[in-house]
Amino acid sequence: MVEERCGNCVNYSPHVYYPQVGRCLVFSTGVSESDSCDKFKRASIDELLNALGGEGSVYCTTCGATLVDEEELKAHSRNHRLAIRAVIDEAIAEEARAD
Amino acid sequence: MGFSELSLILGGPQGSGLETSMLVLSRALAYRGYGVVADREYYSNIVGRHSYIHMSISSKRTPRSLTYPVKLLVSMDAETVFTHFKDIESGGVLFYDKDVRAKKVTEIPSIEESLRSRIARDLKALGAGEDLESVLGVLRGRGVTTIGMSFQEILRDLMKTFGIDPRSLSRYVSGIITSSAALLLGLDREALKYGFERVFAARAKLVEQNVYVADSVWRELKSYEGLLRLDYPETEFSEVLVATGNDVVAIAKIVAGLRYQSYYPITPAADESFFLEKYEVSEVDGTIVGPIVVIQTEDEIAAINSAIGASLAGVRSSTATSGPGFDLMVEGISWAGMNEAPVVITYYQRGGPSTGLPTRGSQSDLLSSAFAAHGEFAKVVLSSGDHLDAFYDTVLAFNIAEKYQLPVIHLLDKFLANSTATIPLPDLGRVRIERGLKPVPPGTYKRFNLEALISPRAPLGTPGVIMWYTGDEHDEFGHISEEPENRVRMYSKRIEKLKLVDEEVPGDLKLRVYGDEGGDFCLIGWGSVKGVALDAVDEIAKRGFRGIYVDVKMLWPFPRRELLEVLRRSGFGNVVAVEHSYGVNIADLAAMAAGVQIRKRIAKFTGRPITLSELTQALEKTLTSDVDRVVISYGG
Ligand SMILES: [Zn+2]
Repeated sequence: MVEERCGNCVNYSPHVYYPQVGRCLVFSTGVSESDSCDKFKRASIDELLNALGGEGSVYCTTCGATLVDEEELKAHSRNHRLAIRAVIDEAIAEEARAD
Repeated sequence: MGFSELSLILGGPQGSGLETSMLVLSRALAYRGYGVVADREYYSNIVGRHSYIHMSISSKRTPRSLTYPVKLLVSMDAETVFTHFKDIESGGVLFYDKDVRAKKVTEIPSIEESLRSRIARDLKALGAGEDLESVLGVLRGRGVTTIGMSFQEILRDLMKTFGIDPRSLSRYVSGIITSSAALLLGLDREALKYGFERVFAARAKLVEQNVYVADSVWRELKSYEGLLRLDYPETEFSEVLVATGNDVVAIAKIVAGLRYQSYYPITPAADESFFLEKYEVSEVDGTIVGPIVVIQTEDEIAAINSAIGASLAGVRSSTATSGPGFDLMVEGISWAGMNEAPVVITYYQRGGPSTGLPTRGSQSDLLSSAFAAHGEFAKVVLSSGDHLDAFYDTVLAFNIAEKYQLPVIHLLDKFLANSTATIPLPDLGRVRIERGLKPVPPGTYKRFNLEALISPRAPLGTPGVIMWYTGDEHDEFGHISEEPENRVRMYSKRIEKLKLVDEEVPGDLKLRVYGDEGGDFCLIGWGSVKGVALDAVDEIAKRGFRGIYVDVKMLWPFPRRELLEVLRRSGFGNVVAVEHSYGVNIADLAAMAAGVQIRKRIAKFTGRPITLSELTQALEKTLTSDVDRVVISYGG
């Protein structure tokens, strides 16, 4: 049985660099992966496939990668942590370089 | 007793607030009177890749070089520890995020495959596992103090207390790492707060929240306060600039009276133009000075040509670029040579060829600058050894360009451009603006009057004055002419101006000798290797070798007389050249221009800065063996 904490919830959106903290997509607040609440919904493969259909992509927290098709999603889902999307830090834009 | 000199690394993912951390910590240290130099190493255009700040701190002066191993590694993530754990000296300290202790090196997608297997191999050889916890064990075994904190707890607390949006978390992670570094170094919280205030300026909330982070760090790590305490500062700074090389050059351009700057954005040059954009209109004591027109053009061809246009209109003008951009500019430089147009090209070298290593440093464009553009004409190439030199040399570049009516290339590099340092305020009393403007004689104006090498230069639009400019060979008025006698005179005039430069520019501005002559060796280099070269000369003196460093500041026309004079005094023995390139091309330029053979060469071309430890070792090797060529490559 999966532990009912934010880190395992489909509505947890991990920070791109510090995935131990992120955003709750239900309450739109900052949470940490060890937080919990009664709206917990497991990040099951069906939920993620659903999100892929709706959003066009899902995020693999383990790989730090955006996944865009079902095959990919299924392959990563075996051993990796997946989320609907990541929280992109605003400092990224400030530090990204032109070349 | 604390440390009078200390070196540290702050590391984390690109785009996660590392630059902010460098700025906060540098300002806090400067506020308390410490000297700092910090190099920034980062990947190009790839967000999330490992980047780091390599910093030297001194209680006595502004440090001149970076060195390994470091006393302190402050990591934002597991990758930083895996990449740099071997760089921490025994007795040093590692600060890390406790939440990632279980992370394995094989699980970090942003590490390049070859590096990942090298680290895994190293860990295996040490008998350690692949996870961060094992690395911590290895470090403790080497006498390194490992200090962990849960970033998650601090960030969670912040989000709950202030309702912070998770999108801005990196600003607080930078708060965690600057606070822990400050605490370990024995800096007080007031200095740290000053750092936050300077960097976050008008955003008072961010300052307050970062102070809150600092308080949390202080509470949790209280027992480690001052573990790496710096000595009480003995510097004589009353005021210092904390600035990058890009900033310093931009400031100097304003001081020099720049009125037009063009650019096409390119790393590592663009920040100079961004800085100038902020000061297009400056006010001093209620009076508007300037304005400076800064234009982002569609490409580098337009950048150089518009700068030349501004110069013809009579103002001080320049452009700033890097290798790929400079290559596009060379036809324009040739046109400037033909038309005797004063223009300054600030050239920040990076790793080539082609796009190469866009965010890494190099000095591999020396020959390309000295010999750029078709045809023969006078052109000057200057270099600068450090931030303060770069300030004065920027003014000099404009003075030479205008006095001799020719293009000047100010050849710098990424190491200087992107490193932040505490810089004593430049002595403005030393600054002279020499425009070399001569009154336009009465009568018919001849723009290219052959009576003297330097003709009177009237700006476009001068009432009653007519002039013609063309890329073709021309007569004294500027009209196209293919007549052989005119060709010979005009051609010679354009080249022979170089003799004037050679004769009139003071020797000290062309070449500088550091150290006591009459020793065992002469190390020769140019540009940003100056700091590390000076430190290596000092360091190797402790091992019994006395020598000098020769900083070639004017690269073209090459200071032939000045170099020969120095080498003659030192008996031409044991000359060693050092450069960030494969060829160590300064040696070849010296051979061509001064007829001296420099066989011993120290080369580095990884794109990472030359550090004190490796240069001293390489220098010793060239002095004590028959080895002529040493290639150094330390740093990730
Ligand atoms: Zn994955």
